[in-house]
Amino acid sequence: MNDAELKQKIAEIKTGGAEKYHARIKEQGKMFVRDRLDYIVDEGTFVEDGLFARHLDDGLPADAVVTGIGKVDGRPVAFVGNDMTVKAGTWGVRTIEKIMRTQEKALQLKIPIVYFIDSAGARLDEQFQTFLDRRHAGKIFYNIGVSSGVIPQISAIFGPSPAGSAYLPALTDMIIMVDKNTSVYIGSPRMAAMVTGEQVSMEDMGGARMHCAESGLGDMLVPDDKAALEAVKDYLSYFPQSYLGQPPALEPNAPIEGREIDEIVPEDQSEAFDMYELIDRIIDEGSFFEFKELYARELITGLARMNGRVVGILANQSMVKGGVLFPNSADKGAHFMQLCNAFNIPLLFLTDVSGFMLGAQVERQAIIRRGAKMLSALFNCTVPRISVIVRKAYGAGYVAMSGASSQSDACIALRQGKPAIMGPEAAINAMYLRRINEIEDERERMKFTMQKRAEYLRNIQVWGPANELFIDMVVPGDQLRDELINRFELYSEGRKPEDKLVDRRNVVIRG
Amino acid sequence: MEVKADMVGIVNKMLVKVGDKVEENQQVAAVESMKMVVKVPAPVSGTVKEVKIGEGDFVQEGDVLIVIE
Repeated sequence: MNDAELKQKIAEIKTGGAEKYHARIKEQGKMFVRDRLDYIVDEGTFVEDGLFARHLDDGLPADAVVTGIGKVDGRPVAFVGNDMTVKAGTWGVRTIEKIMRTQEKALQLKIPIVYFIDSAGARLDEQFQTFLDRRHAGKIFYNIGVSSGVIPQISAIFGPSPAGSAYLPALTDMIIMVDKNTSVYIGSPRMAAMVTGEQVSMEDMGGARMHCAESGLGDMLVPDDKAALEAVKDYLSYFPQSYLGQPPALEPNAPIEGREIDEIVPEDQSEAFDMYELIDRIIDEGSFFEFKELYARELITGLARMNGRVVGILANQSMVKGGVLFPNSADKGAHFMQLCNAFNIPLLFLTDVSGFMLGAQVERQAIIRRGAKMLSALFNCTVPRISVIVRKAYGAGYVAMSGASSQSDACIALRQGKPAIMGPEAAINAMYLRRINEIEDERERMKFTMQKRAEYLRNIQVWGPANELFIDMVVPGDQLRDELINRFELYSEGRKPEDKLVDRRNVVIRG
Repeated sequence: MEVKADMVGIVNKMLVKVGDKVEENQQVAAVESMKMVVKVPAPVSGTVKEVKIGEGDFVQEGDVLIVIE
């Protein structure tokens, strides 16, 4: 073989599977795996390993997976991309070895790893060489588990990710799903019909929208492949290469102009307002990268920049379910805080919460057990944390949103802030029920109740707690952004990524 | 299309009646829960075909409030 023939051979392998399979993915609006890589990787930087895997076999170019390291915006990132045009992207003998080697290299180099998932799962006719050994398929999952919190791990799911392989993305930090094309499930609808008799469509069973809005497995829903690739790129821009680095800062940008915060936040605690509008006033324009936008929308979570520096935001959205914390929002909050803490991203809490939801339904959905997960994640965060009491901060909601007692670096408030163990109605009811019931005249009774509520409301204004030093500062709305920028800069002093709160093996989280 | 309660609570306002035309995102009701008044927007434009719940009624999360056609 001469060089010309070698080049020919390389080009041949790089075309992937048969033309009819290329036609099929095109029909589905999908890109070829190598085009996805070309799209996201800086030109001429991709170093591929295992291109010749199984080139001596018939019809298995690269054994259905492309693996290697390329630069994204100048920083090296490892990639594992299934090739749907070769044996439906299934995992064969060398596929698994290639994936593992890439994972091990990423961990060794301390660089992020991105999975482009588009695979029918294990190749059944090769299962006896791929399933049981120490270096067989299960080690792929093991490697992700071990790399968690060391390097950023991202999944973009462009097609199917069925059965056991569904756990691959589930173990990573962030999952991007393509509307209509992504499907993730333990058993296909056909299998469900066979085993349990259930009749369900693919979209309802494991579609992208279902996972992003209902199961919470999906962290971001995008319309097509290009949007998914842009999202991966965008996401990476907020993260350091590993837990040892700091998130990269960009040129500062002024926030979008609009109504002032003082006008945005209503005095009346029962009146809902749009928290996104407040977020817009304090972050750099165009810097918001929302995490789980469609899931548990009562708690907004997202990455943003303030004066060019990355910050993770958790904010109660009173427009959805009153902004109350539910079991799903607790899970969402726990995931997001762990993600930020792992990669040295400071946390900002914008609190307007009347607490955790109550009632028979949420108790059955384990509001206490899942709420505790959020609390545990919060207490173990060692990144700079600032809590802003925007308005209500009642009961365990105050604690869960990183109030002073949760050892925030600072707990500051707007003048509308009302931190208390509960709201006025519930509190007056609890304290004065007997006296209220003893008043016979209805108008007198009403008058007494209203008077007590007004008194209580006055007591839970910020001024008392600020007087007692429970709250570090009361900030005018139009100065909030600057206050936060200064404080975050200050609190990053003297902190090291390897700082530990206490010595131990691991936190025990109730499952 | 069924408009469902977002969370458990008491229906505090029912702003539409059968036959009313509604626009997408127009507020059709309000549910009071956890001392918050949560607005219920119409998910689509159309005509109100059924009103299943009245002011003061208790609803569970997922209960149908109105039906829009």
